[in-house]
Amino acid sequence: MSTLVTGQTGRSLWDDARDTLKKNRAAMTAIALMGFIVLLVLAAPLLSPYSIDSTDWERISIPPSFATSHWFGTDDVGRDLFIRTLYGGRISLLVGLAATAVSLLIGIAWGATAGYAGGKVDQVMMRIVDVLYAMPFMFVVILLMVFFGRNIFLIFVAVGAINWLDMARIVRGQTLSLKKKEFIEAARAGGVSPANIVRRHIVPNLLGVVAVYVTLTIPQVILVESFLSFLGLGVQEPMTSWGALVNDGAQVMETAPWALVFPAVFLALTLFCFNFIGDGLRDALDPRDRRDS
Amino acid sequence: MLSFAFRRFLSGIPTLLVLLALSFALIRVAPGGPFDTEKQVPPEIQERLNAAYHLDEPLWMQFGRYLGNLMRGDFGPSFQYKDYTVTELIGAGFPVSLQLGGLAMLLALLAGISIGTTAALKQNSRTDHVVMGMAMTGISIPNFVLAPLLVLLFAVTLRWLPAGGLGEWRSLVLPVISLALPQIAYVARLTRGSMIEVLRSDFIRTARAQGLPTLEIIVGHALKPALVPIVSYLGPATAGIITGSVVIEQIFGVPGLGRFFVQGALNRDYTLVMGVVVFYGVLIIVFNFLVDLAYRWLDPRVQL
Amino acid sequence: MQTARQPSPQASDPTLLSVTDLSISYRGEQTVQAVRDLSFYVRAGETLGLVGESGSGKTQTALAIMGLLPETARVSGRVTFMVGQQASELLSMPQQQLNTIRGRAISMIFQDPMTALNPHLTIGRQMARVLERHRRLSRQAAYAEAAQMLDAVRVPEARARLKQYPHEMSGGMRQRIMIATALLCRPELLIADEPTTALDVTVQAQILNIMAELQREMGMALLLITHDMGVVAANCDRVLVMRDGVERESGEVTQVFSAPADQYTRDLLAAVPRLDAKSRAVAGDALGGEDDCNEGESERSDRTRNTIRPRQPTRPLLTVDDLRVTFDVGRERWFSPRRLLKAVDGVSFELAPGETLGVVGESGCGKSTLARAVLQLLDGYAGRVSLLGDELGHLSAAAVKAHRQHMQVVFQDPLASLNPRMTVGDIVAEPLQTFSPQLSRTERLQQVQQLLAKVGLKPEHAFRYPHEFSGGQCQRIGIARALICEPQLVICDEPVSALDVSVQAQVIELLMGLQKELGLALIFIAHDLAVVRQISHRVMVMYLGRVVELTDSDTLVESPQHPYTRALIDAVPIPDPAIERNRERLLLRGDIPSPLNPPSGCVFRTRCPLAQQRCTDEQPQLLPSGNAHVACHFPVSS
Ligand code: SF4
Repeated sequence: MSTLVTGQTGRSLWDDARDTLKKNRAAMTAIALMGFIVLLVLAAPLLSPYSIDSTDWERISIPPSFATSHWFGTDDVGRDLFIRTLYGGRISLLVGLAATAVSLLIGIAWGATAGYAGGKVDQVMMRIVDVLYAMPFMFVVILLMVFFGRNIFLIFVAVGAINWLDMARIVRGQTLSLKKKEFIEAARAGGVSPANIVRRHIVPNLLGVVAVYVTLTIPQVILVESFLSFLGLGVQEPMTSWGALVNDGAQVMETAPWALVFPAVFLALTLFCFNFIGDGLRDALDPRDRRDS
Repeated sequence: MLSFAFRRFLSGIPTLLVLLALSFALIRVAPGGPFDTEKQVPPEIQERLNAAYHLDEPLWMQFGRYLGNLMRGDFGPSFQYKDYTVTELIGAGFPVSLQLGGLAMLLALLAGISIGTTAALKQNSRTDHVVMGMAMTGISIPNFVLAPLLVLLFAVTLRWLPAGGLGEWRSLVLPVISLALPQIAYVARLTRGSMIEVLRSDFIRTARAQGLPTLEIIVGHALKPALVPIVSYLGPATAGIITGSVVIEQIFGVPGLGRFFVQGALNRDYTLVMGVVVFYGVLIIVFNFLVDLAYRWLDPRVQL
Repeated sequence: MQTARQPSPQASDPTLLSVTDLSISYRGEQTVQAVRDLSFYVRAGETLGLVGESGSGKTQTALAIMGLLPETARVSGRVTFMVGQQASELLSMPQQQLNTIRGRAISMIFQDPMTALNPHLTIGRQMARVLERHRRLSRQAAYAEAAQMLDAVRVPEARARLKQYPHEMSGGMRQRIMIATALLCRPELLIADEPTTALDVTVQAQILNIMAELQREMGMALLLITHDMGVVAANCDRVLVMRDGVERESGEVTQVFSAPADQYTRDLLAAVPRLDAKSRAVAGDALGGEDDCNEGESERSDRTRNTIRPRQPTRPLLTVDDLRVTFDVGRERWFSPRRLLKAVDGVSFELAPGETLGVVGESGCGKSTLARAVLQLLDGYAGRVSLLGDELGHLSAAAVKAHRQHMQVVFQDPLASLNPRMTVGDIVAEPLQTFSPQLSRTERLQQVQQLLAKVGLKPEHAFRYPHEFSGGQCQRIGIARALICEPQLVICDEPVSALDVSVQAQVIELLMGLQKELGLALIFIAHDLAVVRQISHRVMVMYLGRVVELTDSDTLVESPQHPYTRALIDAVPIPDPAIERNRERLLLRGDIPSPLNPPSGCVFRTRCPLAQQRCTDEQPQLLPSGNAHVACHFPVSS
């Protein structure tokens, strides 16, 4: 009677989610496209003979041309726009990931603590979030940029500091509703320690929502960085980002529209992809939607 | 209801104080005063300037003085535009921005809600997919990218509309559209989502079982609950439009508050920047308060 | 006192609705056939019961008649409804024309009164809209008419209610409002889809009574959809039994119940727990009685005679003494005093090893809170809970944890009580990790698989995830998790109320078998008195946080002493038309008061037919009375 029976492992919710996502054509296309953009951005130095700040005095503001390997043309000081767009992408994506990571860390810690502790602690913590939430944060970030100079690290922190509020709210809400679930009570009745309850029962059930939210935060952050760069408050020359390039391009769009179009397309495509992936993930991971379909 | 309103109103105060303290602290802690950037100023003149702007007092006194002045609607003199007070500058710029932002908001709500509702009613049809794909595009193209592209197309290439300035109504078309488009897209997506959810709910089935015609069900039963998420989005939407107006005014050369802000920020015009931040902060807080009231009206179950 | 419904209308009454060869299917990755070739008819003025378990297609049928199926549904067949002298075909009717029939000649009420009313509109607005549309009344006339109809369904202060929103009312009140709204245009046919399933049993009795009364008055036909055989027996003239979208049997209620022709009908009737059936826990096998018949017998007779505190050879397993649980629900507004909700208000009892104590009561009576307090899952309580002689409230966290091994729990919602991200094996093994950490992974898995087999699952199920199982199977998994550490006490909080009757019967069977085999003590919490009687040795009846009666299960049902127990018993319909039609009932008025502000004196006095002045002034204590303990100043003499 004490023989061990082996068997096929069943389908976890993650398996189901993966299959749902695979069936979502828009999301899969977005993932492929995004992968391509990331590859391009990483491989930038291999693809072009030019460097980010080398000036081609012979060819100032020329339209895209294959003969000269200026695939995207050059700007008004003769720098190659192809390499600049890709390097700008590095900064934009880096800011997106890093600032999202910042907001993720603060948000999860804050939200999970508030949700799990409950009561007075929760009230005070969420009150702070409410207060900060009502602030015109973009202006505060601009103030920061103005007063402390343009520092890319500061952008991470500032942008991360805005977005953690959302993350904290979501994580707290989710933790609160999980805490009421009967399987948590059953675990407590089974003598499982609080640390293990969080590790085994709360965190795995939070991951789905957090994953969705992270995918939707990245484009927001990229947007904020581009916005700052557009205002001339973001990264500094010779480094650049998509926002800064769009700004530069907008100045000369009547004479050199390519300087506007290429970075704008890259920026929009990236945001587009992240938004679609986020949407797809939400459909795949949100059990409520799954039940309805 | 009254006590709800009162409590909601009070709860805006801490936000405001934090905002004031934060931006004030930033300004004072920041390196570089307003008169550093120019060439060397003799120390005695520097001192006199500092005294004139009360920069020699302890911080808390400056903050107190600032708060006191704010109460009287006095934002102090502008460092950059030496002949104007910040209040005057805000007074001049805000009506322009309000016109722009108000029109954009109106457009965003009207267009967004009707597009979203249409898509929801034809869920999963071709119209739905096309419209929502466009909405996603609208969200993904930031308005500072969109605006130059629109200018490139309609002003530079087609020459249908002026590229900027202020005056006749036509010059408002492009700025308003570029400001509104991302918000239209957001509102449309929100409306579609919430409308679909509401239309699926049990009480809509009840209404259909009562033999009410579709239009009456949508207007009489579904619209109010479906608007709840839109109303809670109004706060972020306002913030978004205000922020967006900063770049849009810049691109189209509209002499609104946003432009003052950017100019002030680049020129370290402390009082102006702070004035604008405070002004918009108060605006957003007041607006959130109104939104809360509307929310309560839409959903009678809401309690504070 | 109310008598049950009148005999059925004449067979010669004209046919009002006839359904012929109705089929409903959904195309998806696999085509789902929800209903297949269903035919039936409803005559004017009669009541047809449509019964079946979940997934039987009964609700789909109703929605098809009303034209409310989602667009993805494919429907074939005919649904003919008599409008005046003329037969109209509903399925092919254009929406606009259908809207002149829906809500006017045919009305429908739905299962969940919490979601079926629009939370954003006042009651008056929702009711008036129907009248304005169908009867072209002015707004004022519509409100007046709506108020009248609310009066008819016995909603107190009807005029004031019109200005209120649904969330300001109790479930029973909302269902009354649903009924009133459905009847506004005096329809010829009312379709009621599980109208009382979401309600407490005493409220269910009121609602069914009102429906029957109004049906007689208006002479309308009723298509009653339910899973409850008792409700059918009490309320229907004819019945149609469905399973998996197909008709299994139909006919006169009396005939189907007395001589069911179909095997499924027979199984269903056999599975329904009957309040008038003797307790199996007491009748079959008593405490710890293994095969030793004589000892078992003597102990049983012992038990039935002296039941309140069973003679205990050993010390009790669990002692609960004056347990009180109060929740702080915050202030209503600033500066108003904090509101305290007394969820459990002075409950005491003892539980012997191997005994089953049933706890019954309606919503808000504190039965689940009691369970959580005993299980030490609440942050705080007053009073004493002792397990095996150790008072848990005084122990260190570590010592309480050690005691948890002896005391496990099974929850109501089978799926919600299992972590969706863990395999069944890990779920069941989790308590072992705490209490037998020395076991290796393989040893744990071995134990889990043995236990899975014991609760009627397959060993290889250990590798699957909860969402791959049905509700009944999930509940078996929950039971396995509770038993893995060989506890002495298992608290079951409504373990079967989310399950279909036939599954319910299996799970109860399983629990009783396991109890016998392992010598478990059970606290069995449920709102269904019939189930509780079936499984329990003794039963404790709770109302608004207090125990009103405590006695052995047969005595409780056969000679209840507390008026509330009596009403509770009367409210449970018995799946036997012969009994149902001649039953005299004690019907309660009104709804259960809010536990936030319970009545003074006797908590039951607002609904008690026997209440007197003393009941307002003085709180009755739980005192011995005959065979039982009763908390009432004027117990019903047995
Ligand atoms: S004490 Fe009075 S009110 Fe309470 S149950 Fe007994 S008779 Fe009824």
